[in-house]
Parts: sequence; structure tokens; C-alpha cells
Amino acid sequence: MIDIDKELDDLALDQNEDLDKAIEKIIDRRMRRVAIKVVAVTLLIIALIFLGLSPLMSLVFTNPASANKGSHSLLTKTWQAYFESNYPYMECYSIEVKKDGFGCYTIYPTMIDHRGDIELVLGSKDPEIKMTRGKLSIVKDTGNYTATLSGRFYGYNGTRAWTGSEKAAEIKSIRQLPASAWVYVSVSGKKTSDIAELKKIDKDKLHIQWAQVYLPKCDYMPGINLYENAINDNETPREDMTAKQLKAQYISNIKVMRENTRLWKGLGLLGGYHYVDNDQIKPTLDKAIKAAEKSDTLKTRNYCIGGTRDEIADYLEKTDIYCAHIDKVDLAHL
Amino acid sequence: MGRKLENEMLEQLYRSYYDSLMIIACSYTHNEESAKDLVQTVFLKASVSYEPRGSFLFWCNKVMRNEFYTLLRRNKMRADEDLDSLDLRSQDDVLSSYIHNEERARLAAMISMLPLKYREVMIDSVYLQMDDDEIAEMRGLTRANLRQIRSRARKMLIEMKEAEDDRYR
Repeated sequence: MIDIDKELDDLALDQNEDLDKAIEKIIDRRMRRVAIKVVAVTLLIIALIFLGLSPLMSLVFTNPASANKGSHSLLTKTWQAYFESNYPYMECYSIEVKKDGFGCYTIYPTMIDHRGDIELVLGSKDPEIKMTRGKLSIVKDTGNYTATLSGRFYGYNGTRAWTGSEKAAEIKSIRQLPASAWVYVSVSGKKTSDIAELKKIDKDKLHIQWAQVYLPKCDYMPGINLYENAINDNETPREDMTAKQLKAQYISNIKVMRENTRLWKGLGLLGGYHYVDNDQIKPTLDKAIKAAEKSDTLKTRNYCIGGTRDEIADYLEKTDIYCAHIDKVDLAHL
Repeated sequence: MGRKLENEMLEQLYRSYYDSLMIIACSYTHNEESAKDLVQTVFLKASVSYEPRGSFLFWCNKVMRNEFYTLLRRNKMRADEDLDSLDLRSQDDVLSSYIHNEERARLAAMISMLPLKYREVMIDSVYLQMDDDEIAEMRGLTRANLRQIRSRARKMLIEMKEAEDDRYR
């Protein structure tokens, strides 16, 4: 008789619990080592991405930080030209650039608003402009330094000419301001005047601040600061510049913009009634340079003035204008 | 514990379990060389994936079964394809290198000649001494079904033993 069950029981294989526990420990340690290696390699890869990719992106995309080196950097020079040409009263004094990594930068220009008492706040974080892989975007601008007023002058954005009574009413309302008030006005003149001639109105309590240069057949007509420009040592103050110097300065500004469009084009270029397309910026600037070079002297129809209540009212009264826009009233000028 | 010590311990473990693993592997492959390859692969895989929910040998058997099925798929073989061509003596010869008892080696050779369904249950039940619940759960069988398979396997083994005894009478 075969006792198969007993014979089968004898075939049971030996198992060693102690050895099993030992291998369990070995595997735990190995897994821990593998996990540590994986974490270390992952961290290394992340570090390489940060250390390697970020500088690479800075090389590939426009780098405003490298353009902002030196006392009067290319970035500052370009933005000074851009703001002077496009924003009446506004001046870019200096620029601070913060590197955010991966081709991203935060740009803090120190802006001067020439309306009223000049307050130059160095290190101010307003406006705050981001450049993300070559593209500019305005993050913060509580002072409205980069805002464009499109209906400032006659003919733009439907701004119509004043009737005689409207003009009288506006002047009357200016005269009702306190005598100490300082008024800033954008004037749309009927006649084209030489800027050098127009500068002659400058006196103690009336100044011409900015003028849009009249360029026939150009949609885009940049302007020029004429009063209290804070920029650059060894430079003739704008109010003392001759007609020739003003023209040279004007053309130089447009050329600086033309050569460095990558540094500002995201802020936009308002030509006539619409923003100029990116691919049309250079041809538009070329056209303006050519027109400016052709003219003997700089001429204007649209300009900005600032002065006391009486001086401004008197000036508007005796000047043949389409209309004027009151940009700002300071109740006192210290 | 240093890596050197770890490696020494793994070597010791390999030596300790080598014969047991070869017995199981030969039961699957019916070929000593293939069994050796299988044991090496299985030990390497099991020693990095061991989950302490049973003995290390139990885990190795689980890995070995998966490896064996992968081998069958790769070679496009059916599980019981070579059973007819096997002879007990050659299996006995192979297994006697790892079981140093003539009678036991012969019984192990008989187990290795069972159809795979019966063989797997006998490996779990006889070699690894797993209880019915564990085997039934692992193989997706009911307990009644498992008992039936094991009972038939026993019968087959008895018949084989009787036939073998008759040959020597």
C-alpha cells in the first residue's frame, strides 16, 4: 500500500525565516538608495535646467538687462527717445532691470511727468513693465506714464474744432481758476509754425513744453521735448537749443528708435489713428526720418504749453487755433 | 551594512535556496540548462522586488511562474507540449542532483511529469506547503476545485508509482 501523503510531505522544501528577513532588509536599503539616487538626479536635472536653460534663453531672446549696462545705457537712451517722441510731458530718466530668469525681465523706468513740480523718485516701482521672451507688457502704471491720449489734438479720434463761443467759454473757465493756478494745455494750431519761432513765446510764466513735429504725408509724426529735459550731461538744455540742434536731436531720437525697435516695440507706436503693425514699424520710422531730414527746420501745428492761468488764457485768446485740450491744472506752482 | 556585506548575504541566500529553486524550475522546464537560466533570472528579479507577504521561496515561485509563462509565449509553445516525449528516468536523473534521496527524487520527477495545471498546484502544496486558502486565492480557484485538482494529481502520482513498481517486479 502506497502512503503517498507521507511521501509528499517529505518533499517539502526548507525555508529559512532569518534569511528571508535579511533579504527584506537588503531590499529596503537598496530601494532607499535607489530613491535617493532618483531624487538626487532629478534635483541635478532641475538645477541644470535652471543654470543652463535660463542663460540660453537670455541669449536667444531680447535681453534688456544687457542693454542696460553703463551710465547712459542703450536701453535708457532708446526709451528716452521713445517716450520723448510719443508722450507729451513724459521723460524716461533712468531704468532698472530685474532678471526673472528664463528670458523674463521686469523693467522699472524712472519717469518724470513735466506737468507740475517735478518729482524724481529714484527706485520707484511705477511703472512696472515685463519683458517675457522679447514681448513687453505693462503690469502696473498708476501714474499713467505710458497711457496714450488719442484725442488730444484736432483731427485725432474725432476731436473737432471749437466754435467761437466754445473757445470763449473755455477761456472764461480758465480765467475762473485761482490766479496761482498753473495750466497745461495741448494746443491744435491752425497755422504751421517754425518750432524755433514758437519757442519765442517762452517767458517766465509761459513755456512751450513739447511739440509734435509736422511731417507732411507721414501718418506717424513724433514729437520733441522743448523744456526742462533732465537728460544727459554736456547737452545743451532744450530751451537753449538752436533750430539746427533741435532738428539734429529730433532725427537722432527717431534713429535710435529705428535701430532698437526690439527694445520698445511691445509698447506700441501710434501712427495717426491706429497703432502701427510690428512689421511696418521700421518703414514708418524710415519715412519719418526721411521727411524730417528733408525739412529745413522743424515745424509744428500741435504742441503743449504750460503756464499761469492768465498767460494761458491770453495766449489762447490771441492765437488762431482749432481747439485746445486742458491736460492738467495745478492750483499752485511752487 | 556595507554593499560588500549585502552582496555576501545575497550570495549566501542564493546558495541556500539554489537546490530548492532548481527543483521547482526543473518541474517547469524539464531541462536542467533552461532551469539554471530560469533560476538565475528569477533570483535576480525576486531579490529586488521581494514583498514580505510570505516566504522568499514563495515569492520566487511566483516570479518563476510568470517567467515560465513569458518563456512559453516567447517560444510559442503550449504548456504541456513536451510531456509525451518525457521519460521518468531522465527527469529522475536531473532531479537527483538536487534531492539526495532516491525515492524522493523519483516522486519529484513524477510531479514534474504531471500536466501543468496539476503540477502547479502540487508545487504550491507539496514543495511550498502553502495552505488551501492561499493557493485557491493565488490561482483563482474555489477550494472545492482545488481539492479536486489535488486529489486527481495524487491519483495520477499513485498510478505512476504503481506502474513503476510493476516494472521492477
